[in-house]
Amino acid sequence: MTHKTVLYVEDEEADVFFVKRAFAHLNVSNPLRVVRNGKDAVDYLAGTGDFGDRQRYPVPSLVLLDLKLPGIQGLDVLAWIREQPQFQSLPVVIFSASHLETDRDRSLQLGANDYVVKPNDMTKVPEFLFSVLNRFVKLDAAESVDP
Amino acid sequence: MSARATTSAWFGYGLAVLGTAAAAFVRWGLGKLVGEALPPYITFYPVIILSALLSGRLAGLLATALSAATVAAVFTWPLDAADITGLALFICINVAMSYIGGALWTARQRAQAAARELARMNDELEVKVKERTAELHKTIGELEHFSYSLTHDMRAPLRAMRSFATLLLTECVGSLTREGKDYLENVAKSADRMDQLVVDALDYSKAMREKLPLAAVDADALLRGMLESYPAFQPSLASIQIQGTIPPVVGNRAGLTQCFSNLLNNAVKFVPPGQKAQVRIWAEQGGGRVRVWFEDKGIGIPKDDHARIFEMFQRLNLDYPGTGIGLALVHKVVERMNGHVGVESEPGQGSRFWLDLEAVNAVKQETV
Repeated sequence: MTHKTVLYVEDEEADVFFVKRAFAHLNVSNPLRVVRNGKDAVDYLAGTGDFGDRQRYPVPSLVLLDLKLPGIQGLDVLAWIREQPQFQSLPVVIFSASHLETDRDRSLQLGANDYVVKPNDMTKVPEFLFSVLNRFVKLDAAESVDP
Repeated sequence: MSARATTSAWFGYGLAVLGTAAAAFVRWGLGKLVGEALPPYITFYPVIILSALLSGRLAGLLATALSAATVAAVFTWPLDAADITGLALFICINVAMSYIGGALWTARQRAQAAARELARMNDELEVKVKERTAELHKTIGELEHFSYSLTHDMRAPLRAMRSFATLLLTECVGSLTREGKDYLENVAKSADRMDQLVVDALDYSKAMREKLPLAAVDADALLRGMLESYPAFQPSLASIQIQGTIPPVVGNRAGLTQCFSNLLNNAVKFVPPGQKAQVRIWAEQGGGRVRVWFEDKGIGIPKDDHARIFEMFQRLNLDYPGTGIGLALVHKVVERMNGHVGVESEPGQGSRFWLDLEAVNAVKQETV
């Protein structure tokens, strides 16, 4: 259970710093893997390119996805994920600065499991984000325990 | 003269010549059939009248001349006095006919030219409208792109500043002097305010650009739902009462939510320090309108400033947090819902804001 990896797709250094810090400070045991753009996200999930080594880059149990990325956009990554048969039920949580209804609606339409607006104070990531992430990580744990 | 008119003239002259020949032929045939008692000019009239009507006065005059010559030469030669009188009469009548027919022809030509000109101008106008619309769409697209950039990119450095300031305040508080801590708190507060400004400005520009489809909205349920769900309106923080039932109004649910929320947030915010906000909401109906009142016992607003508060970036009291966009947004949104907003207030006497909206006919159904 402690091996359930979270993949974080984010190009903003500061945001990555604060999410990593929150993981470390709260002793979250899930490994956090970070990719900086949409292409790397797709490569990572597909296990191609630089991400062929599944030992180092295990298939994530949850994807935390920013919307505005260099190159391939977050929504395109999301659409690609939902097109892959093996990722139909992979939890994807959007983590975006946008408070716009259109961004939220579009994300949920494309199959995001939840949408979290980045707090202006990123030290509040645990309060804002972890309860949401917990829901999906816990769900995974419950499923694997049941049988 | 256009090519079209020239073609029409040649057609007229052709008609005059061929028509006269045909009339002579028919007259000759009829003469054989019913005898020479038949008036000699009878078949020529239609040709002359048709020529004048279809191609103008000159064609009519040509047909008249040709007809007169043909009749004189073929049917009445040699001419006696009666023939000459008849011929003169025929010519007079048909010159008149040519002029009348020609006048009608000219009038019709003018009408047609006017119609063509109108059609051309219409086409031109349509092209112009299309061009302008395309330009406008481009501008809107650019504006939307700019807003998108503001939302996603420009707020990121601000978020970083704000977050690292908090980190300094919490993690390195031991190495900060009291002043240093104050300064840093100011940095954090300013970053928050800047971010709120950007968000509010984006909301405002969105309210100006976006379509607001209007429908009947159950304002009472909407307000009560907001009082239940918004953290800032909970009974522990503010005492907010709705008196009676707010009638349904014509509006846009999202727009109304924004207006109600901004007015209520102000009512709750602008109270003397240490006091709990007391807000009373009620509605009046009449003349097809519904006026919803929001009365608070807050700090109030000087009369001179009543108009100013609905403008962008106008903040009257800098002791309270805010961006000066809230009421401007209410003003803009309510305007787009065919409504009005206003205020009655005195300093220290609290404020009474009102929203004036269209009432719902009994026929209309709740659709949103």
